[in-house]
Amino acid sequence: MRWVGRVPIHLLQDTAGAAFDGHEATLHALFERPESERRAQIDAILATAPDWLTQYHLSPQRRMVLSWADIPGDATVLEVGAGCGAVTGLLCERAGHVLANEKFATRCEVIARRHADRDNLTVLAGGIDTIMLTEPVDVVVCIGVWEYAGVFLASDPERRFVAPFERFLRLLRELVRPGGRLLLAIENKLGVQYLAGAEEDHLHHGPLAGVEGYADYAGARTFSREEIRRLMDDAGFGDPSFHLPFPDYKLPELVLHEDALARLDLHAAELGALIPWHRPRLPLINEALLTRALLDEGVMASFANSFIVDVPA
Amino acid sequence: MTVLLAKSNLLRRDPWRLETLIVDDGAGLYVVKRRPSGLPEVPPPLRLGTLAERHARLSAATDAFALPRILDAGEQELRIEHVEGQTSLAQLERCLYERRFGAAQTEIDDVLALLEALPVVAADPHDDAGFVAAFDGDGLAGRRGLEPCIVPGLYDFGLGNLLTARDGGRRVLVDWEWTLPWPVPVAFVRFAIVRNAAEYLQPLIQALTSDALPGLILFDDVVIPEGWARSAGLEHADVRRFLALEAAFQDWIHLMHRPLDQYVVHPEPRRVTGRQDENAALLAERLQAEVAAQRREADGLRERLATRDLELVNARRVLSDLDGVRYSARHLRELVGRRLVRRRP
Repeated sequence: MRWVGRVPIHLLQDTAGAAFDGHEATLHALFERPESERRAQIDAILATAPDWLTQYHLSPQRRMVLSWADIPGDATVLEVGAGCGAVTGLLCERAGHVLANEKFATRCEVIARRHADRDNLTVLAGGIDTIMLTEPVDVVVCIGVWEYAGVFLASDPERRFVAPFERFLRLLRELVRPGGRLLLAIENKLGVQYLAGAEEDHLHHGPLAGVEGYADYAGARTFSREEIRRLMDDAGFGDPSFHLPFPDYKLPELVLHEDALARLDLHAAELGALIPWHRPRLPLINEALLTRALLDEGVMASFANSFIVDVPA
Repeated sequence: MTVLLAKSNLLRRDPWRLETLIVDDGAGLYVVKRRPSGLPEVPPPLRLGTLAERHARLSAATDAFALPRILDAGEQELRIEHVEGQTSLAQLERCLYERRFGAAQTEIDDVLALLEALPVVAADPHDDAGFVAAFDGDGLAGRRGLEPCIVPGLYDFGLGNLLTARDGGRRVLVDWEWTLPWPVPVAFVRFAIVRNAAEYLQPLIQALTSDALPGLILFDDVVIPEGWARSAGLEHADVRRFLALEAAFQDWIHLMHRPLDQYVVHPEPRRVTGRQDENAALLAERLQAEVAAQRREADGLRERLATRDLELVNARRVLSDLDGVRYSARHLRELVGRRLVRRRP
């Protein structure tokens, strides 16, 4: 174990040297600065309208993925796949204690530097299958990680299209106490953006890959609403509530509970105008008109770009 | 407790960051406006509590529309009545979707009429340092002298913020955040109402623009229905100034914003009666040009082919002649051979 400021890092697995998207070194340098300078510098970077990945790491909009969620002040939260800690700060503000798990050691350093003054944060460096807790936690948070289970969890080659994702959910289920909850964010393989011709986010093999069932599957994939419901049930979770972030869970501006579609008077312009701007796309269809039709049909919840699934254990 | 809707723009500058929630606590719905957690305290003129003061100021200024009741005004969050109803933007979208262009025009006219019910004074807004800081920080908008201004300066009188309540049909302004203490030009607010509605609904408007819903393109490629622009009294000469005011305001609020020099204001407004038709006409024109070019190329190829045919005929003739020559030569050789044989003793 080592300390960065007030934050201990427990090494569960040796993944030193591994970086994920190449931004880690820049972030590490940025977060070595004192908090007072750092905030102004991040604002200055964002004011230049930087590339999407920089926004993904630095934008406060990332917090919106869970800023609405009711997390008890005395809860212990485990964040699986905390990345570079963009949402970890929000969890530290809300919960009693936060265990931020991240597979890559370089990213663990970034998380600890970023939140070095937090005295309710512990960083766990290692894959999900290396996490050992003395007791299950109240809340498990997993944002944008499940879709990569086929990349980092071994499985029978015959069942690698489904088995790693089932195993991942079972691992999550073991980490949360009975009566606790899982908050999981993932893209929808049938999202309006994909129907409208946007490139599949995890494959970069062009449009419609997920809609057509991942013919080029290599370990990363997403699921539809009903598939998620079934997989959650198989893993022993309760009945999930779906929250729909627009334009997606990565930089959300609006998060709707699935019931809001029927209970509030929403207009398609509000949803259809919120399409992720960074993704290459074929101009197949007018998203706003498709969204209007899906709202009228009462099926929009199945075609939102992403889901935040709130599911009891 | 279920959060039905959560909305925020955390890319605003720090003092303006705000979260809005619609919450169901089992007994009913209410709205929460709160400053997002993890942000430093802001000085009193900007803090959340002034939303209640702005509510009071606006309520005192007009009864043309209602504001939702504030249920609980705390330092950290405001709890506000949730009004069941449909926004004007949703109604406008529905009208367009169902091709009821007259009803859409009426909706726009009704909202513009509500604006007229606010107190209006003749003022030069640039005399007010607050207005200049918010709307002309870079000095690009230019002064116009005295002009009709709304006081208080309700800038964001957007169709998305104006509800028609389900009970009794009263108009309710559900977001009064940008009720500013300075005078704001009425013509600018009218422009913002029409422009924002048109931009929100642009995919629909572009698909429906026709003789029945003619549009005007004043800047970029944004189509504003002609009737809406007329109702707002929108003059082409004012567009650049209004965009300058808007760009400065966005800079005042947002970390990431679009600067004025990224707008393209056209020298003349362009009237369009069918983007789809125009595209089709353009496509037909291109196709015709392509067909003509292909025809020209085909004619050229035919000419070249005819020449080649002629060359081929000549070549065959030459070959035929050569065959004759070869036959003659062989015959001659045979004759010569025979003679040579005969001469041998």
